Amino acid sequence: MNGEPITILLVEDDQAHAEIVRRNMADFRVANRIVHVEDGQQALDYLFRREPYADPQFNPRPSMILLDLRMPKVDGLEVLRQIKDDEVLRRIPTVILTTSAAESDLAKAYTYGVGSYLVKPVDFSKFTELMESFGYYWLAWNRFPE
Amino acid sequence: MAVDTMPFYLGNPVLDAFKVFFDQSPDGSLILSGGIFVECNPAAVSMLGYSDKSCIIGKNPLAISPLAQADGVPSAEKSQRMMAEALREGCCRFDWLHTRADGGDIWIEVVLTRLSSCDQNYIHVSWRDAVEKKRTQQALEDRLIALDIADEPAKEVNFYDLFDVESIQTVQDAFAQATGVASIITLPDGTPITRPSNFCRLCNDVIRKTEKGFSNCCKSDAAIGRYSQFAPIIQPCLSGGLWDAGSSITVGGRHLASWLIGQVRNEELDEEKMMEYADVIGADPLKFAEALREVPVMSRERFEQISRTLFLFASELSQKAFLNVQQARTIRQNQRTEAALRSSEERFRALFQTMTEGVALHEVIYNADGKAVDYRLVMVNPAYTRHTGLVLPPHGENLATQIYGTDEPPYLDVFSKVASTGEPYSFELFFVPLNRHFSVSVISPCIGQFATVFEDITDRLRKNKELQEKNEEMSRFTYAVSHDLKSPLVTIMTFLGYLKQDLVKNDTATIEKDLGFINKAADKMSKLLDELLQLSRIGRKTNPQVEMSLKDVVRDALDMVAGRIAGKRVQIKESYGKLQLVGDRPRIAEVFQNLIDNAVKYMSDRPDPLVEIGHEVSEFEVIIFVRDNGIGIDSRHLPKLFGLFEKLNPGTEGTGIGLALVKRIIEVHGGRVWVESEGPGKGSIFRFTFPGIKIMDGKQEE
Repeated sequence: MNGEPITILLVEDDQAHAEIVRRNMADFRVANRIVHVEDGQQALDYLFRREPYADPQFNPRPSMILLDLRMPKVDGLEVLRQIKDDEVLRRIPTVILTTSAAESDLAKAYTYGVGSYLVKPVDFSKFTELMESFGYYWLAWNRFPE
Repeated sequence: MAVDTMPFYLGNPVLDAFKVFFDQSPDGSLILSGGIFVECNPAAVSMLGYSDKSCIIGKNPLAISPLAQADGVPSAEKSQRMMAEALREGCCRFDWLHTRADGGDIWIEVVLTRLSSCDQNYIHVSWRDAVEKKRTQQALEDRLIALDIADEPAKEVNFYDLFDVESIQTVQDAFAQATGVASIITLPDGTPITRPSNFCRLCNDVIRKTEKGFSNCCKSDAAIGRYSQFAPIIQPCLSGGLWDAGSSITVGGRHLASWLIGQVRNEELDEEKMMEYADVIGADPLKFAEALREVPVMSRERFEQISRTLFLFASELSQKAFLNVQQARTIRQNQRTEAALRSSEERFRALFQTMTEGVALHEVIYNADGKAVDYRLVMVNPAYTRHTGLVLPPHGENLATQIYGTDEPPYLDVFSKVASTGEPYSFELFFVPLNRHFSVSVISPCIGQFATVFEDITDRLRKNKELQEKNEEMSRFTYAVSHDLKSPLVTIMTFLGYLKQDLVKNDTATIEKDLGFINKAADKMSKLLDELLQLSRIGRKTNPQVEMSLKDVVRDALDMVAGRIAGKRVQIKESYGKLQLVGDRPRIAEVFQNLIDNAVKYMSDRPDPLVEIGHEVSEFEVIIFVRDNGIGIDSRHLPKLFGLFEKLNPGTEGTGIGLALVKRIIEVHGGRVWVESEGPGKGSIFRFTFPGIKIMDGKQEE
């Protein structure tokens, strides 16, 4: 692990929720950088290096993807599916962070091959705790490939 | 007279013979012409108790009949029928009630014969007294009824139930007469049933006339007439002492009567002892002695012979009576069974006719190799026709291929399997020839035949499908709602936490920002709940249906959005004509409000933002449209547009319910709504139909 900040692609349509993640990760001791896109279409455009995200210098490939589910234009599960379909992109660990606890979403997500599925708690301290644990596990403990 | 010479030959002597027959016949003979008696014989006259044939000739048979026959049918109707039958079939026999001269009715067995050889239509009428016949019939009926009771073990059968006393009396009299003995039939206890036959004066007038004597006689009769299986009981009577014999009449093990004969004396008789009896019973000895001498003498041998004959007769009688009982029981049983069968058949027929499920009986047709190749419809119930719209031709061959108009008999393999194995089978099918779904049960009442009981489930399936779709929509809805309510809640709770921290740090800028997030989230929840409520109200059409002009309701909508669009400098163009519609006015206003809101929201930065509301007329309907020159919609997103919570642009306000609401309102009014867009930057146009909308005249000015 070098000193470079870890790039996390945050796919989240709710501004407030994105803000929550940003604040939590900003505090985290492992350096990280959040790239925030607001819907599934933008997420795919970013990952597949389509306009306006074609330039790799300004749009670094993320080390992991935090994915919300119910999003306009392209749904989170569809994004996941396309990611896992791609030989290169599938190596990027995906974590779903959503308000939905629906069984069907869970099942589908794991069928597509998501790395982990987190449900946003309706409680400030719990959310904070979740984000801390998330940070610890994925950024401190977890190893990323080159 | 030579054998080969006919005593009569054709010509007058034969007619004369017939004339003699006509006059002397004991049966009534009459001629009907044109429904009136034109001739009759003396027997007919006397049968009805008239004095002269003029009382009958010239009359219609109805004039000498009661108004109605015994079965309740009016005589007029029945006589018409009978005469028609005679003319048609040649002859006709029936029982008829005529009225006698004295007003009473008489049963007559009538035979009508058509006399077709004559120029005119004559009918010959033959009358035979049917009183006896009727009486016998009645007696049989009575007996059968009695035997009905006899079936119950509790009730005791008695002699009178099984025997006609008069007939038995005749037999008894004849026997006594022929043999020279006295005879009487009594109940087992000795009480006489029949009148005494050939009683001697001694017994009849002397002994039995005394109280004691009579009682002794009865006791004796009881004793002597008791059941004895193989032989008659022959012994001196226990009263006077004359020789008596008795045989029991026993039916089905029950001793019903005793047949006694006797009152004879032979050389063994002790006269002295007999005279003593006179004293015992208190009879006049002189009369007693006198009468005693009159008692017939008969050798013991002869008497025993007669007694054995009696025994034979009595046994036969018993046996016949027993068989009678059996037979009567059987007849009764059969009648009951028949009645039960008939009523059962009636019930099933009623069921067959009225049941809502279609029933069809079929016969499988096999080829020479025993393979099923077709089937024929044998019988169908009215429901079959109701379900299928097919009527079974009564005399057709009714092959499946003919009835359904198919090349192959439908489901032949399934049906023939049931017909041969007898195993019932149920399934649902889509019957191509009729284009409907059926639920079918196939059973086989006997080998080679099968019956289908089926129900048209096309509507049910459709309703089920609709229900299922509604359920799915419901669960999608619930899912969406819970998710979309939870989301702002997460925001609120989390930012409240941040707020606490902010307050400690006294970080005003962040406090403001965080409060903003909380407010927005709370607003969002509130709006969502409002719109959900609205949505749930739509289906119930709570507002009355009113007639309104399109202009009015559009103006309603514009008033509502006025505030929102003021700042955007959007031009609203109304280019629709004078249209009149009937519906829920506030809801329809909401449709326009949402569409206009939408159009305004998705305006780009162009200098001339325009929303146009107008109407078009297609081939068969009027279409309202709301067109904008805004940012347009990517074709990929068009299908999901009206879905609940499907927002294309997450950054904008709105809960994503607006268009779903529009769709719901339009659909509740029976219309349909859709959107077209040539793509991003090319604007969009929302179109919808509204059944019942009418164009009044010309375009309105803008």
